[in-house]
Formats: sequence, structure tokens, C-alpha cells
Amino acid sequence: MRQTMNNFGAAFGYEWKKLLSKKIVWISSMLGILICVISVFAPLLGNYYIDGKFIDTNFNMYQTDKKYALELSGREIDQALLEETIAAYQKIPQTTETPYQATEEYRKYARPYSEIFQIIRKTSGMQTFEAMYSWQPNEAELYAKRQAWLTSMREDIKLSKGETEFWREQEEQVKKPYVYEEHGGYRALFSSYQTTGLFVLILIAICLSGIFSDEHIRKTDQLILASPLGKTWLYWAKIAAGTTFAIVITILFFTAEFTSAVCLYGTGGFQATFQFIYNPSSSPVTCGQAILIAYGNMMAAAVITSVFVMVLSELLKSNIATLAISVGLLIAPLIVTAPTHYRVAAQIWNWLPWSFLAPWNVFGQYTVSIFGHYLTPWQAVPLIYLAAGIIIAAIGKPIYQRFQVSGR
Amino acid sequence: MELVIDRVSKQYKNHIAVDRISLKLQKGVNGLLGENGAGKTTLMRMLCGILKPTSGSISFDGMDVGEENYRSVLGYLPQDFGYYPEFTGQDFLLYMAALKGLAKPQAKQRAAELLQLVSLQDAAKKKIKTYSGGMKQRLGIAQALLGQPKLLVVDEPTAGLDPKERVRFRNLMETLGKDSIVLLSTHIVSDIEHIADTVLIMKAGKLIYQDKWNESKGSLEDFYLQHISGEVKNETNHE
Repeated sequence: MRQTMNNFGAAFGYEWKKLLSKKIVWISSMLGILICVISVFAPLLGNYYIDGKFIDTNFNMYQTDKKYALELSGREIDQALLEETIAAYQKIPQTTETPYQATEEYRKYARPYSEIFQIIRKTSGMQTFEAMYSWQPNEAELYAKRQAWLTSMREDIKLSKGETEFWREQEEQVKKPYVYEEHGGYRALFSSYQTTGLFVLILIAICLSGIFSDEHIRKTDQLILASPLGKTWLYWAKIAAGTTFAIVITILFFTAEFTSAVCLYGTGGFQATFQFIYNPSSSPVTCGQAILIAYGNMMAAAVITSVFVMVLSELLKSNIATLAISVGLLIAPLIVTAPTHYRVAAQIWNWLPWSFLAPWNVFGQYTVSIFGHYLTPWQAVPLIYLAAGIIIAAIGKPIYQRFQVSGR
Repeated sequence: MELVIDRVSKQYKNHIAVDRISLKLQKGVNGLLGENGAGKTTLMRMLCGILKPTSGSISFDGMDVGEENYRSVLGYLPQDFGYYPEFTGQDFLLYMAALKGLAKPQAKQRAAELLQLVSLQDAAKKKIKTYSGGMKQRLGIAQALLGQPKLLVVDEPTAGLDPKERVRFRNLMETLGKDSIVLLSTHIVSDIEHIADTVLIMKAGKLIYQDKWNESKGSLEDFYLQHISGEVKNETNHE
């Protein structure tokens, strides 16, 4: 009897060839990348108005702010810098009919410190300009206010004592006083992260919704399933092609966005403390590390979504139905939010791939405890996705193998 | 070399598509005749392991139809099937060869031989979407022969072929029947008239005739029509 080769590699290559031979894959990928790149520099387009009065172009505004930010780069946000900042802001007349940003005093004295001012506002939890105006700068108080605000927030979302303690320990590892660094590129990447993730997952749903169902629609399933490896290795070759497609797409989107951000905003800020761009987090990571972590998690979400879409494609044997269900699930978090007082439900909902595109969920507060060791969302969720992906793929295999060609 | 079909049935709710068929096929061309809806395609699909019988068993030299080894001796040309339009003819054959477990060098050599055999060597690098119906059918025949099958199941294979191609196809089946079991299903009697070693006739899911055939028995067309119309009492010879 002829010896049958495994041929997994060849089958995997042909599955990729099938994917790349579809026009929809190329068109939707190009379009998706283009939109995501535009979303990085969109904030620099257009003009800046106050009360309908033209102030400057957004690009010029950014250039000026960046110049000021670079001048402050490397300085600790300590007592001295806090005093400088508040003193500069106190030069703005307290009673003015126009927003304070429109005043001459703001432009002349305060604006160079606007980045620090925003960090103080977020760190202290002071919501109004008036509160900031009357604040007596105090470095210790600033960071104590942050700790109090974080504790209160964690109580509101029903964290356990162990989790609260874990996050307190994490917070202690965040270097203080903060050292300011210009980080415009990473802020832009972080801002566009959710949009990019949504595009990546929708693209995966579009491109992979036919990976199994196309065989049934085209009636090539008869040839495949009657071949020695068609019922066995081909299933895994298709799953492998789909998951690697998801990985490649995520890398492409990240590369396109990162390149655009670097070209427009510069390379600075990798070492800046992550709390500058996402204040509620106590993760002791830098902006650069946070972006890499976020995109790593996006890749995990893309992989689990790809497995889900492919198995759904085999189950439903219809591209349209698979696409409709997948896209429906992807946009659900834009409409539905899990109430935080149902802790378990909220955690499950927030960690579903389509919800996990939100950076506040990647760097959220919910944890998983394993033998007394707490895993943050970005540590736990990829592992959960890996296990879930294997289970979903294993469920799909008998569905694929047991398919009966009849009724045509 | 023997294909054993033992009391195989296929039932869909209240409809019996194939009704307790038992057969033993040996080397040679076995022509399966029957009207549309007689159950030929259902039987063929069960023989190829892509449709599970409701009852009964199918085996080739002791290998059950569900085994991978069974599929490695099988060549199958379905009645109605699809292609990958963006693949070239050569790509398609190499892909099918990969699924049949052929090593890459062997696959390339076999694909080239078969493209030549079905006269598609000049169109090997053209995309299948540019092929005519007859070219696609010839490509389908080529893929069925990739693994040098010992059991070749071809369902209505001459659809789309022009008269000259039909003759070439019949000659090919006759040659293949010398070394393997060929089961050729058709409703066109002339497709098997001069090449079938055994004739099988199906009607309403049942095998109503099975025997060796030689031209001394007269015209197969007349013989077939008599059986289908019920003028001749059903007879099956289980050898």
C-alpha cells in the first residue's frame, strides 16, 4: 500500500493561498489599515476653535504643545514642578467670560505647563479648574489623593480585599514622583487602540467566515472528505492558516499604526510612566511596554476570534450567517455594558474578546487568583483564550469530520 | 482486490434512497446504470465515505470505508463538484495530491503526467476560472487518478465532454479497469456499453440487475430499458 505522507505543511500553504486569492481579503485589509492609520493622525487635522473663534490649526497647536512638553521632559513631578505649574495657572484671571484657554495669561504663562496640569488633575482626582486653582501644591498629598481615589474606585467595582491589596502593592512599584516625558505617539496609539482592535476582528470575521463554509458552498467538500488527509489534517491546517492569518493581520495593523505614530509624533515616550496615558492603572509599566502588552492581547483576541469564526463557519455552513453573528457580537459591547455591581458577570463580559478590545479592560482592575497569586487581565486573558481556543477547535473537529454530503 | 458492499441502506425520514444493496466487485469496469433519482449518487457517496449508510457495511480488502487507508486507495470523481477558481489547474492537482498524502516530488511528477493524459498540459498554468466545462471535467478526472487508485468511483463522468473526449475517456476507463476496480455510474448507456465487464442496474434504491456483461447478450440499451420498464423480472447475481 502507498505510504501516506502527513503533508500538513503543504495543506497549510494551500489554505493560505485560498485566503490570499480572495479579493475581499485584500480590499478589506487595505481599507482597514488605511482607516486605522488615518485614526492616528486624525486629531492633527482641522482647526482649533474656542467659542467659534479660530485659534490655530490642530497641527500647529500640537507642535507648540510638543515643544513645551519636550522642554519639561526628564523633570520629576515633584514639589518644585507642582509649585511652578500651579503658580503659572494662578496667573489666569479667575473670573473670565471666555474659557480660560482663550486668555492671554494662559497662553503666556500656563500653557507651557498644561501637560503637568492635566497629570495633576487626573492624579489628584480634582475635577474642576477652580479646585485646582485654589490647591496648595503638595507632592505627598498629590500621590496620597491618587491612592485614596484608587481605593474608592476599587470598592465601587467590588474588588476583593486580596485584589485591593494586590493593586496597592502594584501601585507601590510605580515610581514616584513621576518623571515627565513627552509621549504623544503612545497617547495616540493608546487612543486608537480600540478602533484598531475592532477593525482587526471585523476583518478576521470577513476573511475567515468562508474558510470552511466555502468548501460546502463550492461543493469541494466531496473531494476533500474523500481524500485520506481531508478528514484529519486538513481541519488543523485550516485552523492553523486562520489563526496565523489573525496573527499576521494584527502585526500588519500594529506596524502600520506604529510607523504612522512614530512619523507624526516622534519616538519619545517609551519609558514614560503608563499612568500618564491611563491614570486608573496601577500596573508598573511604561507607555511603550503598555502598548506592546495591549497589542499582544489584541493578537490573543484575534486568534480566539479566528477560531470562533472558523468553527462557526463549519457549524452554520454559511458565510453570511457566520459573518452576521460574528459582527453582531463584535459590536455588542458598543451597545451593552455589564453592570459593575454584578462582579462575575461584569468580569466575564469585559474579558470576552470583543469587549477586551477596550484598553480599560486590558488594564482593568479585575484579576484571577491562582494559588494566592493574582494575574492581571493582560496576564490572565491570553491564557484563558488559549485554553478556550483549543476547546472550541476540538469541538469543531467532529462537526467537520461527521459532515455528510447529501441532498444536492 | 475486492470491494464488498453488505446490505447497505440509506434512509432519509420516510424515503429510502438505497435499499439493502449487497455487492462484491472485482477488478474491471463496473457500469452502474439507473435513471435520475435511482440512488446511484447516494450509493457512490457511501462508497466514498462521505455519506454514512443507515445500515450495512462497506469494505475494500478488509479495510472499512471509514478508515484513512480505505481513502488512500480511493479515487473519486463526484457528479457535481466545485473548484477553486483562482487556482491554476496545476495548483489544484498539487493541492489534491497533498490531501491524498503524496510527497511533493511524487505529486509534481504525477500532476504533470495526468495533465498530459487529460490534454490539459498547455492550460496547466491557467486559472481554473478560465477553463471551459469540458476542461474542468477533465481536470476532475485527473484529480481522481492522482493517487493511482485501486478503487475508482466515477459518477456521471462524461457530463460536459465532447464526443471525442468521451471516446478517450472510455478508453481510459477500460485501461484503468485492468488494474483496479472501476465503478462508473451513468444514465447514458453508451458510456459503458463497450467497456463494462459487469453491469449493475438500480431502480428506486434497489439493485435490480447485476451480472457479467458481454455483447453477445445483445444491445445493452434495450436490455436496460426492459429492466427499467419492468418488462424483465429483477435478477441479481451475487458472485
